[in-house]
Amino acid sequence: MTISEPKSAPKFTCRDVSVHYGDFCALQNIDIDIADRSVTALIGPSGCGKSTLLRVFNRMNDTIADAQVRGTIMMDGTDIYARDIDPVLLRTRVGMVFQKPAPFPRSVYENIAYGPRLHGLTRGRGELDTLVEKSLRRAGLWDEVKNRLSAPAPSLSVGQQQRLVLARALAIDPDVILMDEPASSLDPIATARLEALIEELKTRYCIIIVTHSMAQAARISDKTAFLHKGELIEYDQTDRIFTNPADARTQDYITGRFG
Amino acid sequence: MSVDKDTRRGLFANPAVEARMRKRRGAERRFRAYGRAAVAFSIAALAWLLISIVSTGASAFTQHWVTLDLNLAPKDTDTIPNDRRRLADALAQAFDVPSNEETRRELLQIISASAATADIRQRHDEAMAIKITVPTSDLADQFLKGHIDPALPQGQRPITDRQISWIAILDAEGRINRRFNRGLFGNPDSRDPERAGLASAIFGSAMIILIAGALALPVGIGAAIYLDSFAPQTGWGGRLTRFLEVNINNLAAVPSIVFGLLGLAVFINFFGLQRSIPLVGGLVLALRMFPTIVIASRAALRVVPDSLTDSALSLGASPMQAVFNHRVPLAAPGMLTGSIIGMAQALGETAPLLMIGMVAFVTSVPSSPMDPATALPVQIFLWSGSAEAAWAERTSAAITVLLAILMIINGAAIIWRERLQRRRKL
Repeated sequence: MTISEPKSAPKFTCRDVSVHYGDFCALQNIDIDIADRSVTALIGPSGCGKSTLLRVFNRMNDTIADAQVRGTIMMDGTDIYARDIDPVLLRTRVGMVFQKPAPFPRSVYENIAYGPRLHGLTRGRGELDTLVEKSLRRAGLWDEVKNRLSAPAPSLSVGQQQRLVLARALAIDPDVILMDEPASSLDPIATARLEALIEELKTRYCIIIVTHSMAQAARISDKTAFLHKGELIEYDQTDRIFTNPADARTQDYITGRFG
Repeated sequence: MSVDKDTRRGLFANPAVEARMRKRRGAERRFRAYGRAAVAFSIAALAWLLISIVSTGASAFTQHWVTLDLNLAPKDTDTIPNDRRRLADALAQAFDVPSNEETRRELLQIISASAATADIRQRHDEAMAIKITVPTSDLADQFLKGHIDPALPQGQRPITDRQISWIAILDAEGRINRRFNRGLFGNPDSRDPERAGLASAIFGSAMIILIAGALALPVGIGAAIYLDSFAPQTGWGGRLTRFLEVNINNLAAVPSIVFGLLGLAVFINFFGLQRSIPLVGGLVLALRMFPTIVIASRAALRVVPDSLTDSALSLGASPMQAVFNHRVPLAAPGMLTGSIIGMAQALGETAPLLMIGMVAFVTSVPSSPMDPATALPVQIFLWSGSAEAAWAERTSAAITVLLAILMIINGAAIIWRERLQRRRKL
């Protein structure tokens, strides 16, 4: 798996995307292209719409009763908001890790096996065992939990739980992983492990990460988007954003003058 | 390193602060005292209730039986009109007293005349010596249990001196023994306290609860899951959902007798079902249980974090899979508790059953939900209204049985819930 595809075609293409919650406009007229096999960071002050934008990509906004999404969002050239696209199937391609790890109150093994079982990805216990091990290895958790696969998942440490839910998302073999402030409840050591993991995973997956930590965005992302009050202010290579932003508001935010 | 007391105080306090602290500590102490008083009061009330009921009812779980050797006269419809008379004459002969109307009446009052007559009726009509074992009458039973004071003058007690002497003779001959009152559980209702039992009521209540549970549990839990996870939350649909929820809450507050009236109007008058049958009782109590189950299940579902269903959805679970794989199992213990509370309420429900005619005097054990039956609380109501002392004892015994059944149900629910929770935790 050393040959990487040309990165020319974007994974996601968003044109004129707006999201409303009832009368409140959470995102307006967003145009953004997300590259495959890279890390894209979404930054901005609280309430700027970055989590909303993240949830556009796997249609999790559908679960919010009064959310309305307008505009076109293409994934590999397919409109994922088209009538004949089932969000359930979309979510098998676009995995998600939430801000607070929410392991199912079952064993470690059952947590990982849940997705593959839902979608019938494996035949027989042997294949499932292999897939569970592979997913846990990819999430860098295997060595820590291999002897307690039947332990209840909520008994793991928070850092382990966050990698567990990452492994759970990886188990159904998605193309894209969305992460909503995955490190916000982790200590610095667990955060460092997670970041190293993201670095590894980006060779295979398209990763979009929402983060509050500008240092984190600078460390791990290839491109960074700065959102403010529902608008996409600036979207560029990460080093450009952090060294030479085009917009004064970006400058103010990354230097800590507001937000 | 010791700091003297005043200096230490001075570090934290001045007079104003101390005064405020004293007030706060006082308020705290008072609140704790109120709490303890409230708990003590409720425990005392409960203990009083239990002790008074159990102490009154305990003696009803045993009963005195008497074994008699009697020489029956031949059956002759001209001189001896019936088996009751044959029995009375044989008793008079056994006690060696002349058989006149007064004696016969008094003699038949010390044994269960109806049980003995029924026994004699089984036998031949000729003259014969028989040995019968029958319950003593409620009067003799109460006397033997010491509930009637023989020291009172004859006019002030229900038992005569002669009857007391007869009972003494029987007792001296070892013919009277006290045994467990199986009839209390095995017999249906009767006019005679010594033969009355709870069988009809227990079977009736069991059928009512099974029918009510079978209807209200799936409907109630299904409605709760739908309202929680699938019903529209916004726009006109959301308004309708909220309207429905408010009305389900209101339904829980509707007096139960109104459900009885509804059952009378709908099931009996409109659908033409029979009165006094467990089927109608079950239908009515299903309506009564429904809001309780919905409210408890909704509350149990509401506390399950959305993050679990969101996680499942993000893994490509369909909304139904997300809800049934993650939300419902975690809410199950709470739902179970709510359902059991609903069942227990229904088991103790009396008023609606009165409305649909389950207050009837039923002397047979029902064999199907379409047979007339009574229910435990209604049986208690019926017995409590009767005059004889034996009924008071039996009423308390029936209450004890009802409470015991409720405790068993609640205990089973707690054990089941704990087991469910343990399995969830693994």
